[in-house]
Amino acid sequence: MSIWKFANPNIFLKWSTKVIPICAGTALILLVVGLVWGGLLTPEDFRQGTTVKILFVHVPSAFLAINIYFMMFMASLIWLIKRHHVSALAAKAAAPIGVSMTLIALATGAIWGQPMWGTPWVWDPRLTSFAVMLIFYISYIALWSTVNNRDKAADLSSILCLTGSVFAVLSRYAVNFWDKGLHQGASLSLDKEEHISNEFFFPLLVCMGGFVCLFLTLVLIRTQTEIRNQRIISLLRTEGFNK
Amino acid sequence: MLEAFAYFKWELKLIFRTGGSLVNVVGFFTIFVLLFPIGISFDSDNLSKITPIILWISSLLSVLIALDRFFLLDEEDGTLEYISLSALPMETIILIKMISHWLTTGLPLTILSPLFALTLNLPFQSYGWLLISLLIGTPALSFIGAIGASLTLSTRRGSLLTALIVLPLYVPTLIFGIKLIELSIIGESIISAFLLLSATTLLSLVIAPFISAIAIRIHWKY
Repeated sequence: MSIWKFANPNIFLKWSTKVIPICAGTALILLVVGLVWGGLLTPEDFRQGTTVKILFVHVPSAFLAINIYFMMFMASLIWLIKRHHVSALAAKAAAPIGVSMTLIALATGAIWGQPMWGTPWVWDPRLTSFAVMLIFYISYIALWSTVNNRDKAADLSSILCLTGSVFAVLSRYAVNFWDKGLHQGASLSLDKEEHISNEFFFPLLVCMGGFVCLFLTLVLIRTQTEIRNQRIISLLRTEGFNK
Repeated sequence: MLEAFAYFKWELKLIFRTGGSLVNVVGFFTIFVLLFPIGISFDSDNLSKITPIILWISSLLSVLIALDRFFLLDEEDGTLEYISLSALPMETIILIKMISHWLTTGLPLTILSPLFALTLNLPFQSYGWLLISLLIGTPALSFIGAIGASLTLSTRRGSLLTALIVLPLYVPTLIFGIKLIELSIIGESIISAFLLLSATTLLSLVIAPFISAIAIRIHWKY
């Protein structure tokens, strides 16, 4: 009995069907609690006023946007090494969610930036690396959708994901070298000086937990869909339909 | 080694004798450089600030357009498969293709760039750094381009997809290359940008042949 047993598509479908409602329920509870707590029960910031509350959507989505790419990196690696189909399909399923999270982070940042910075967009290192990451996601999805053979598409896009992550990290630090930005440094760190105050920290933590659970729910559902989609295709092929 | 050298000579001969490819690249470069002043303004003070950007983006786009013929022609007429049967490993074949691609795209642009910089009012002290920046930066464009070209080999008419894949990978090279010239214009120490640009090129030199070789093997496997 090893952890790889769960990667069998049949067993995956079985356990994920059980896990999805739990994840969805947790996501719902955490998001409602976190957003109500963060949105209504926290005090206003003495300089930013009520706009600070966009933080409770902005930070979790940005956190996920980066970590979904990391998840795709791990899934691609597992696909290339262990050849588990579920892994490749999970990476494929995660990419559109990553795009949405990147877009949410960019949009909320712009909405916050208009009153605070006086501009929705500046060519700041963090903002620019997010824009670059958006293109990474899009090119990954584009490669998946243009290659006809499924295994080939999985192989090629996995390689693109691995290559992309090398250059994504490089770009992340290259843009720092390029320009000093307007965006603040890390708000969540072990360094006491930079850490946000506890009043905002705990609801933010709840929101991040809610977003992670939401992501898990979505990625499991989408992976199930992909698996069933592949089954339909192979079924049609054995039945003699040309598709 | 001897085979590699023979293949290198053959590859170069092929590129030169096909004709037009070198003219194409230089032509595109000229057009791109021409478009910027038309788009922005003819004000020469304004222009000299963005000269490094114009030259770098123009060479980047010219190399990008030349990526089409990287593997596709050889793949279509079966040459690539034929050569892969020789004693040369796939990685060496791709390395040779990358170098010959650079010799026929990046190098001519580098040599011509001071001429264009002259029309764009680049400050006098920066000409040497412009040459160095393009000389060590443009190989990375060809190397990274090989990755994109090999990944999209399986898709018909994949040139748009190649651009989409390759352009985000070009970001570090572009930033370091432009920064090098800009630092030299304002008279600061360029050593950090120089080292980072060299590192980017060397990194892509190391990983590109292997990644492209894997991608081409995948292309043939299915």
